Amino acid sequence: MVRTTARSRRLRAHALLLVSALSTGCVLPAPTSGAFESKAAQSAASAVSDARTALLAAALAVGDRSFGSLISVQLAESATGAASTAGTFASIQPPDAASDRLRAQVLPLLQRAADLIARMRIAARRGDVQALRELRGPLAPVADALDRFAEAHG
Amino acid sequence: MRLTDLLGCRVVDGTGARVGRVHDVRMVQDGPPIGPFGAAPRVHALIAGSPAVGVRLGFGRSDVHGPWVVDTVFRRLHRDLRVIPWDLVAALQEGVIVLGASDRQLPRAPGDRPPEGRVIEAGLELLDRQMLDREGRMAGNVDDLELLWRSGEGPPRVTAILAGPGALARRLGGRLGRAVAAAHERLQDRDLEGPARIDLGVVAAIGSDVRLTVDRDALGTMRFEAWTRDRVITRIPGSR
Amino acid sequence: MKPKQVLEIFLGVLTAFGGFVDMGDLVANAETGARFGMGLAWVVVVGVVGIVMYAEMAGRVAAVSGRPVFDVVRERLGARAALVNLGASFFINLLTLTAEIAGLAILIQLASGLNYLAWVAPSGIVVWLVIWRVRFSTMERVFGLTGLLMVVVAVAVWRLQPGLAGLTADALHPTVAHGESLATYAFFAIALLGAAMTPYEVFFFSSGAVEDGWTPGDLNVNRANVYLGFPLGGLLSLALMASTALVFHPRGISAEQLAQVTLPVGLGLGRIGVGLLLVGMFAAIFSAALETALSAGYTVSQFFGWQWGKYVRPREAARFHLAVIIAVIGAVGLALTTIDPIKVTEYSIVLSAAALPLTYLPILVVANDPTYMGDKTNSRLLNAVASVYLGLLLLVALATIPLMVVTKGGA
Repeated sequence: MVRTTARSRRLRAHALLLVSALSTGCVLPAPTSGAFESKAAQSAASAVSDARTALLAAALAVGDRSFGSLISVQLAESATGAASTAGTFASIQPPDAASDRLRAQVLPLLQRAADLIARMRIAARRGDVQALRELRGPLAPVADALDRFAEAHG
Repeated sequence: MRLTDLLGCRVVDGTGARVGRVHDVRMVQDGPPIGPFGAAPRVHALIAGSPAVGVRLGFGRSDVHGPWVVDTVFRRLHRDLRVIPWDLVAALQEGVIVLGASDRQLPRAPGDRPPEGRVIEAGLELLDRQMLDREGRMAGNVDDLELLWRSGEGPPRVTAILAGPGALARRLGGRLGRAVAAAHERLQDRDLEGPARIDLGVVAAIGSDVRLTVDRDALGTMRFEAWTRDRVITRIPGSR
Repeated sequence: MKPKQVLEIFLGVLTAFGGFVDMGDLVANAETGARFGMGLAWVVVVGVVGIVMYAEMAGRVAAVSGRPVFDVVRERLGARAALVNLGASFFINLLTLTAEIAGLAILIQLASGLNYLAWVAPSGIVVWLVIWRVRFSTMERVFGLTGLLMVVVAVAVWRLQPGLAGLTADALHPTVAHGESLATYAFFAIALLGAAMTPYEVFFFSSGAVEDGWTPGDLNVNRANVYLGFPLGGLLSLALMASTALVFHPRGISAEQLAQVTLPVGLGLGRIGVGLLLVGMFAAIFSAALETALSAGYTVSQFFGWQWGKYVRPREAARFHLAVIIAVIGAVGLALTTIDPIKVTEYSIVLSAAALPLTYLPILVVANDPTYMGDKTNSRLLNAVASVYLGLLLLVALATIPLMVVTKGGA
């Protein structure tokens, strides 16, 4: 049996928590305006990645250049990612009025992207290539807008 | 006595000054042959000093030559290693070796070669080597050496190789060693005591491995293997 | 040279080529290409030169003396230091095996649609069954050669040509991509290095030399496999990097899922390309899983001096096989905790890079020991290059944990 004092056990627990928190990039609520802005930019960039991946996957499905199961899995992953990004960002408390405006700017885009990708996922599961084709139209400009936002505030 | 009892001992000279710790034991094969291997090695000198990093690599006291950078770095690190002839050892008590001479009189490594007989540095050439039996099958590692020492009768002589968890536990030391020793006891036969002992008489040659003249099943090192084979492996179809 | 020998060498090279890429290479090269374009291509070159050197030395030591890597590690570092080394190596091996088995499960998900977690245990069992029953050389050959199908990635890159000129410019003038920090750049460099220079590869390679019964006469086969096969595998890694650099980087897509790796090939080659890629990836990852599981057995057995190897019947190497079984069960268990397979892969390659000096130094020393090698010790040139690498690996080992903390695991 290892004898440790209560204090050293606490210290060890704290150190472990710190290291694991830092190394997994866990989300802490944004306290300052600058941190909120960079969090907004990060979320936008992440959504761009999911959205454009979904667009690529949809393009492959439309052109019959890959397999149905692959496309479905890809769209499911992108949809989950986009939904998670939008949800996490929505739950962060904006610290000031400027942050409120940023939030009003980017959150609708995040949610729209998540919604469109989710619909793509549903279409892919059903094998509905036509729906996939149609959904690409609205998603591309949303992705571009998010990209511009990320560039401007990142 | 075991080699581990010497390795790691603190060395203190006649005036009480610290010389360092024992890092290796230089042995010489002289005396009557006891088997195909030749004479039983007896302890000729201790290699001791303060730096411990990489002493097992052997730079500066043997034929080992590495890449120039590695060689130079380690030689510098180990430049204070001393060779302590056994006859300068005055007493060995509770992990401390007391010398009958002063620090200044001790030659540095690699030191003089003894007049006759093959020189073997235990840590460098013998310890932790793979043993192969007479069929070339693996028979365990050299985990420790058994030394016979009666005070007043000259330096200790190696009588056997010790292998298996019983020997490894003492090498590892500390809590880890005790855990290994406990596991070993559970696998032991009741009537046997201590680690598996391989008499030097069955050693044929020492090189990049240690060749034995007997079958490995004749040694005591296969008990865990037998247990695993009977309890686990043979129960899985396709093991033959 | 007789035609039979030439065929042997040819097959050996192709097997080494096809078996080079594993989960770590896939993830590292795909992610890096997407984030940095070809800006880190030079690291793959450095890594391949490193693994070629390291594997050649370990193979030579094993062929000449019959002693594989972990025997050497214990002899030259002593029991206590080698046991710590074993603990670290086994842990990293376990992480790597978890990543490979999870990768197999994901690939089956991609083909079938069923969640990957359902395939983790079956994959582990099949990996173990192959180790249990299939002959060593057959196992190596079949999966190594099938892994060659991954060459479709290079073909797809060639097909997607328009960006190729930009690619080479990128590779020759490496700069930190816009929006990325120097610390992240360095972190991904370490990840790429660890993916190319995996320790399990060397444990497996040197033990495999004994399994295949190599003698000093086989040193040329050793050299051919290593000097030709591994660089070709490195080219395949670069092709992976190029595929995401061409398709993902300009679109701001980050490659964090295994499914994404198939998209560029779909773009360039369509269904057939993707199908071949999936089979090739499966074989390459399966081969890596076999090697990693066996390495777990090799390292433990070699440390304790137990009989190991597939060249004897299982009942003659009971403890070795027990170690392999425990490793596979451990990996399957870890994967079933729903830990993100990509994250496990990233950790395994980064920690691999950090742990390299522990096993590299003893091999380097032994390769220079005349009592071990006779007249087959290292040349001066090899020693010079190897020393530079030792310095590099020590630097990497020191920098890894701080970088991991600073970049939050490469986020």
